[in-house]
Amino acid sequence: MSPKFKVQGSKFKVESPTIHNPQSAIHNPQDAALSAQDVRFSYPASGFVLGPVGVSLRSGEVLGIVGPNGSGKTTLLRLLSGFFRPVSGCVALAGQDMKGLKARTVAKSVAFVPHQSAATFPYRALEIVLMGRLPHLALFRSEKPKDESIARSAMRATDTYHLADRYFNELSGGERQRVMIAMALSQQPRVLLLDEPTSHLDISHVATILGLLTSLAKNELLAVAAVLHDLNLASEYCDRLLMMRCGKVESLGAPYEVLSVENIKRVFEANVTIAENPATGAPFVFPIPRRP
Amino acid sequence: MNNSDNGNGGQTDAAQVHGRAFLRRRKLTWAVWFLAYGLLAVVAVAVGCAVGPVPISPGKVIKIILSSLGMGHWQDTWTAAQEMIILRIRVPRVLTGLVVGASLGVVGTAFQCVLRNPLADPFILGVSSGAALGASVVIVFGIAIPFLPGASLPVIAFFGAMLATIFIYRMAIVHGSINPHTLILCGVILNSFLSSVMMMIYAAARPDRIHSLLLWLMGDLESAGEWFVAPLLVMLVGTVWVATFARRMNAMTLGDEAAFSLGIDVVRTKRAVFLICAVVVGSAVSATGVIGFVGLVAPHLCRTLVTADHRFVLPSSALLGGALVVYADTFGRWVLSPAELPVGAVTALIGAPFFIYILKKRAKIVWADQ
Repeated sequence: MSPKFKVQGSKFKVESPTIHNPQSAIHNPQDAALSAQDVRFSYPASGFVLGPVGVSLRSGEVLGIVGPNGSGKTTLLRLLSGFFRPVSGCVALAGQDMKGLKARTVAKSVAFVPHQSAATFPYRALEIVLMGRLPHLALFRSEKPKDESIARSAMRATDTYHLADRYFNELSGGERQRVMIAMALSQQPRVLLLDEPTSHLDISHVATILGLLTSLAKNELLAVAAVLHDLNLASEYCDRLLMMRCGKVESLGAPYEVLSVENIKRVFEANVTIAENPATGAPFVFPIPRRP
Repeated sequence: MNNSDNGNGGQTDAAQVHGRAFLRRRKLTWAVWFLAYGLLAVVAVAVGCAVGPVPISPGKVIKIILSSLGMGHWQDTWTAAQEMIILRIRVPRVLTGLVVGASLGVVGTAFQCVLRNPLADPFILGVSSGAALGASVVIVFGIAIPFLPGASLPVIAFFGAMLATIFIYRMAIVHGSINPHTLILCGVILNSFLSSVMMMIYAAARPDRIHSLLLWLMGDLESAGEWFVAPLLVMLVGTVWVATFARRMNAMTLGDEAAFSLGIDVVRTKRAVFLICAVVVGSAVSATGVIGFVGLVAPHLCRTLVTADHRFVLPSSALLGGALVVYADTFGRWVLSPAELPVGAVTALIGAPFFIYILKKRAKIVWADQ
């Protein structure tokens, strides 16, 4: 059912960012692994309204979702994952409306890594990663050695192998984040959604995780969407960016199209200047300090 | 296991050896602990049946029970009276204790997991105060239900428990899903409201009735007739049913979003767990009164000693909970014999200091850094 992708340590360690070529990201629209059409959503309590949003996430691409605080990035991700149901419009997984799909069916192909995670009780990291196999296990069946090695490989890919026997709640924020990504990987999804996956990571692990995501997209044709706060990381690793403001899509396209001085001024109300990263050619955003 | 499946040379081999090692280790550890908890429960039955105004040695107890089950032939070394005491009085009492304790252990585990709160206990849904109010109405005003007057107290207590639970459950639904914080707050508020209503009833009641009400409230395992089988069956079925949610509960401790990502229908699972647990606790309270601390302590003990995996914690806290209640009841019958201490008082007496000890000792592991 789900495509078999191999989680292998050596393959994922893409330490140097790939050279950016937006042309390679152009796909047939039929390739949409996950698509949102005219999706609207509102929180009854706060009155926040999102949408209408239309975006399709293609197999093999990394989509970065950027925008100021409270612009609806996480809400959009939750809608894409099926955790929130849209008020109107529809989210389709491989062409099928998610409304008609069981949570378990969705979980076989969509994995969602929330921003912050804590286990209420003392689980070890390996036990958490093994939970990623849950959607694939028949009821009342326990994990087989195969599930075990998938989990271990996912841990090696996210550089958490050495944490296997540690208690999840004793790990640092960044380590926990990587364990949660390992859990999502051991789910062997076709669509991977991540909410600020690098917010607690050091500079080297940012490269490990984002390099891993791009390599999964390129080699295993995963569709990846990630909420990212750092515009330069988004520019460096994503094939397309979606820029949001107040629940609306302001701009959608290749990083060099989306990351313009005018867009950033309008959406973030920040003054910046933009140059190219000499190593990769990706646009690089420099903030201009506010001085009296 | 076919290595070519993974096709990654030496590294994967090492991982698989490791992987198998972990699975085998887990299987072995769980088996040993299940055996230990099972043994604890069996010893509890033997000891619980041996202790009493007429002491009968545990060996004889086991022989009497086994031969009554047709599992063994011994020369009759016991009197008919001893056999009567064991089979008619002590075995029902001990079995009641086991089932009630197991239900409390499992429901405590389930509530702590679903509410994501290590302090949750089986009575958090207002079950105890609802049942207590029902019981005080019966005891103080002498109300009897038609058809089965002997069972008025448990039946009305059960309805009180269910009413309180339904009220709290309805209050805790925020935007279509259950909010754990609202639920816990509602439970606390309803508990204090109902206890003030009970205070008013106390004020109007005769002293002897207050005494019997207090004894009921503190828990009593004494079987009150053949209808007693009904709540026990409800508890047994509910407990086993809740245990089938173990894997889903594991995912739910990571939070709603992560659980959904793992394919759990969070809203439906929560609703199912709450409703089954409410009926189980309602039956437990109405049959035997409020036996505190078992539902709080048993899950934590199982978790901190071995693993937090609910496939382990649910069955083992059932065994441990059952054993604890039987031991507490036996202790309560023995310590001031021939007077009996209520089992609920004993569990709290031993449970509270013990719980504080665990908290201090293993706090870092028990509590999530949230």
